[in-house]
Amino acid sequence: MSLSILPGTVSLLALNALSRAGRMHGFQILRWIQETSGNELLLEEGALYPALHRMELDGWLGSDWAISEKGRRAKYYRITRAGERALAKKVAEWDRYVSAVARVAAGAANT
Amino acid sequence: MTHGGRDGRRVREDLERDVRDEISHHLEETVELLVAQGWEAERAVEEARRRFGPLGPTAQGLVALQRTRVRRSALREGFGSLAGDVRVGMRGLVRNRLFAASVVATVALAAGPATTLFSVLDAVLLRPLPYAELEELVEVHVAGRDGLGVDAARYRAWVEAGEPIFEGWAAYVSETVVRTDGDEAEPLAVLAVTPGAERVVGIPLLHGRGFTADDARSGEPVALLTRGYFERLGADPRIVGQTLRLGTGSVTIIGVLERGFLFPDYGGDRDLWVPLRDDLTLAGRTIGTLQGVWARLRDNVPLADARIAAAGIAAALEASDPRTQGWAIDLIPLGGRRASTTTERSLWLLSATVALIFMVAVMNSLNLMGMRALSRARDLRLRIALGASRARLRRQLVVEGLLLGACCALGATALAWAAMAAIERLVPEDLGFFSPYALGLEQRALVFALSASLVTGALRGLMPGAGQHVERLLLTGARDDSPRARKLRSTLVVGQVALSTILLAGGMLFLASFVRLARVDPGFDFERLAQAEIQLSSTRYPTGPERAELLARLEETLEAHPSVVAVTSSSGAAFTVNLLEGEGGARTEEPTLVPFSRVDVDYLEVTGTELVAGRTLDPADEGRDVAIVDADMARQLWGTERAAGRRFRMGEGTWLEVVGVARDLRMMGRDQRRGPAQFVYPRGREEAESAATVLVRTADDPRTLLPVIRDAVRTIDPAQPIWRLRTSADALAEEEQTQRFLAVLMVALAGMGVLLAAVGVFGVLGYSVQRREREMGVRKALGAQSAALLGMVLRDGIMLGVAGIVLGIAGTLLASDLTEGLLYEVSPRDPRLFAAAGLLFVAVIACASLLPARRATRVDPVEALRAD
Repeated sequence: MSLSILPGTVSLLALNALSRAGRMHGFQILRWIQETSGNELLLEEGALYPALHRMELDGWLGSDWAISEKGRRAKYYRITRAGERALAKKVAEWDRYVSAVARVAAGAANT
Repeated sequence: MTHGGRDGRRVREDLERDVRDEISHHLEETVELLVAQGWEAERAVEEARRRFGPLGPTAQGLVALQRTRVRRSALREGFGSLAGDVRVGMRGLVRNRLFAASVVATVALAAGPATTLFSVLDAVLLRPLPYAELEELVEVHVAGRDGLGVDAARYRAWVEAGEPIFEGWAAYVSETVVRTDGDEAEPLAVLAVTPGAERVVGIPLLHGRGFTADDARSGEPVALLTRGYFERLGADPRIVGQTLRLGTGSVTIIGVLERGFLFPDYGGDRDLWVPLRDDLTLAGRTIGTLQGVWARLRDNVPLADARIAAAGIAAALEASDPRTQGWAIDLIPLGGRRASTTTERSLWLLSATVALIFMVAVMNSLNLMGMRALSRARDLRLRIALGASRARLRRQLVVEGLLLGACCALGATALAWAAMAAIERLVPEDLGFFSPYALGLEQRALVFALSASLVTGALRGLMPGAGQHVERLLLTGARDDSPRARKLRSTLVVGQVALSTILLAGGMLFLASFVRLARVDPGFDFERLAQAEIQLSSTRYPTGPERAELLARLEETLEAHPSVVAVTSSSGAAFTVNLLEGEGGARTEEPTLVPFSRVDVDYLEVTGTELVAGRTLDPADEGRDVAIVDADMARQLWGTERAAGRRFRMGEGTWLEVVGVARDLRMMGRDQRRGPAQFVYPRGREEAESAATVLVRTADDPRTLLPVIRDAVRTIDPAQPIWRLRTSADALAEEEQTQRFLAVLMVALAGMGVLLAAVGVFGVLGYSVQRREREMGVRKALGAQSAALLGMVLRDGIMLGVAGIVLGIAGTLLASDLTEGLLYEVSPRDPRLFAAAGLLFVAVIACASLLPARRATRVDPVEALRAD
């Protein structure tokens, strides 16, 4: 059973995907996240697209339409400089979050 | 990008399609993956849909996000392009530096000084005087047959009889007193006022107290500082209680006034107030007549009633005092009385002048901008061809215009400040418009200048010949401009020339007046003559003989100096306003201003005054009732008859026998209008006044004599101040500073106007030559001589000029009343003036036309025909 994604982390994952793998369309982003997580993370498609479009509105992502390697018309996303900055911030926040949760969880395990 | 209309709908449809496409692409990819994983096609589609979740709401959310994005980026783009317009505009201005600079200079030169002058006009003439309940304040104006005005007895009678109508009175006399406790003697403007004057008028005290009846009656001499002098002394409130040493004795400062009286016609503010005693004596001297009497009406007494009552008082006085027969009494509301006539006329004249310049400048810049817009038509056509919308181009033009306008506004403000600073320094004191409160740029005026500059700039995008015209050019691709625009430009130039002709005529008028005045022979030899004012302390030199003794010692000391030829002294130029009566001759109907001076018997020799009849004064005349009159006075009283041996008197005064007639005696400067008749009479030793003018004749440069005079006074009495130490030539020039100031200003303004008009003519002809290059080419090809082409363009220019000049002369005739009373023996309707101004202007226009005309002759026929 795959883990469902915590709300708010979709943009972190998508930004990270685009930052590492470069220009991709929505389906590729989804696949990249699943494969990179060893199929542990199950990203809901219904949540991915609104996140992409929101980030496009905020200027973190740029987009253009192109023909995919399979000959289909697809919307490709790429990370902008503002997106990179946002990603760095989100990663740092995520690290703090994880270690905080880990500390609390470890304490719970010891009692 | 807009959201209503066809464009908006198309954008929305595009966005919906994109969202649909993106979702279906995702579903297709998912299905393909599932099928590859072994799913059955139909189940795979279901599974893909299930995984994606609710399609419709998601799609709607995406479309909404996209629409927001599009709207935002459209806004950003709009701002970006506005910034772009500004950038392009800036670049354009820098590229066309000459054009931009000429527009900015034109508008700034016109709007800046206009702002300043309006501020001054407002302060001096328009803004109400800063007195409490101004409508209750009246000036009691007395035109007596003897011209004496109000003396002590009459003033007291007025105050008593006026009790029911008047709440309070303020009477004043102004004079100059020298302060002697500094390193240099400092002349102070002093106002002697009746106690309580500040309460009657409503001037608050900043520190200390005002005069009481006690101060006026006797006791210690006291004084009030006005704010201006208080600030010059360092604005320390502890000054109250200290003493100032004046030429007339020491005074204790008892208070500081928030401001002085405002009477611009006496030269603005005073430094000190001293109390005027009830018997109207000041430092032991009796004041003959009061300079001004102000009164405050009781509440609920209307001016009309007060006037009737005043007439009654006057009638009662007349019955008791025969001297007051035939007096005219008037109560003049102070609110209506602002500056002297000369000041008011000068101000209106200058304002009219600056307004003319402003109009010329605006016309000029409109023309400049219109023509430049035309010359840019090609550039704009190119941009339309590249897809720029008309609205976009218009916006660009307006932005450029606003940029230009902003530069103009900046320039105008800077110039307005500079002009105000210059006015504060340069305006001659006796032009007297400026009290310290009058200064400062008026905000409304500044706002006017700023908006005028901006609007002038923005008009560029809107006026015919710029905006619409450019569009028409764009549409038709025509190279030429319409007859309408051409006519507009010609009209603007004719208007400029007309207005500038008025300016030029004005400038010439004032120059002629000044030159004429400067050439007037004042009737004495002012070269190699130096003079100084000396004020003898009434405590140390209380009597006439003591004062005469000091003056005699000073003369002796000075005469011992090798370069001194002779020394004399007089009471200085004084004047009286009185009826003048010649024995067996004429008697003036109205009191007239008559300058006179009491002099030493050697005065005429030392000053080199020329006699045309009779004899000079001799030592035996000392203290006798004889006089030397000037030729004007002799003529006025006895016509062509012999004056020597006859007698005359002022009002009811002593009869004086004329022993000699001087060709001229212009003691109060060359401007004879100040007094057509003048006389001098010898004074006796008993009568030496506390104020004297010492005149020293030298064989050398009189400037070298100035320190000699100062030293001589110090040797005799180190505590004795002298002031106004200067050569007589300088003293004369000082009397003419108002005339000089007006002449310089008017000539400068006229020069500006003419220059602007010349630039206007140059611009229009230059453009017209450029426009008619082809016609010129054809003419040349058909054998026209260069001279003929040159003549053609010159003729065009001169036609424009002549039309403007004729209109301008008509305008000058209409405006000539403005100069009344400001000119010396020059008529503003003199045909020679118009001829001179017209010819000068034609010459200027011919010069301005020459460059475009020469360009016309250099047109290459082949090139001109090949163009287009």
